[in-house]
Amino acid sequence: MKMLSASIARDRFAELRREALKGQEILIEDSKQLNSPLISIISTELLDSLTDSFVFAPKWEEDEDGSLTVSLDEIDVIGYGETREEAAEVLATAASEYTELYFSELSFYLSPMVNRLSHYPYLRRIARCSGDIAKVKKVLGV
Amino acid sequence: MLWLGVGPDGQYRQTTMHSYGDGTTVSPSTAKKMAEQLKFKDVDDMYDFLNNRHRKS
Repeated sequence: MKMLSASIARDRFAELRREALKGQEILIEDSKQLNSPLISIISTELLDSLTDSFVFAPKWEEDEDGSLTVSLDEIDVIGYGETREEAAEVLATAASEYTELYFSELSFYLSPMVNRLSHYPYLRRIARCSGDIAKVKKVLGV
Repeated sequence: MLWLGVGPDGQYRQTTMHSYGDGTTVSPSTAKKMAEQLKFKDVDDMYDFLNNRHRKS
């Protein structure tokens, strides 16, 4: 796996982009700082394929009056309604709202106190729907 | 919409509140899920807190 300094990567960005599109992951280090964390340049299509394996398994419960509750243990979100369609809509909207909040407050959600790193690949799939609730419902399996 | 926050025990909590309007009763299954998400002992504990600001010890 190729590792380059940030300055060299900047100078060779077009070439590295072509390599990433072919499936290569390029690691970038900050050569000015010892032991600085690495970042990766990777194809978005490849990352989409990798996160597609994080599949949601919605759990449905029906009460005596016919109302429905649907839950996603993968991201700790629920939806509910008098019909399946309504519950799915509430779920997808809540999941989208959580996704937007999560990626806007990443340092909080990835902190040890909250510890929701495991939600990341699932929420990335929702984020890639760009707010289209119909697409979100499809990803959620509702 | 999402209701979320950090409790006095330092644990993060979140749940979903539908914008039905005030006073709409949720189903038993939904209430049970909400109680779990909000880390109450059970549904009674949650309703006790909402009505009286008391938790079961």
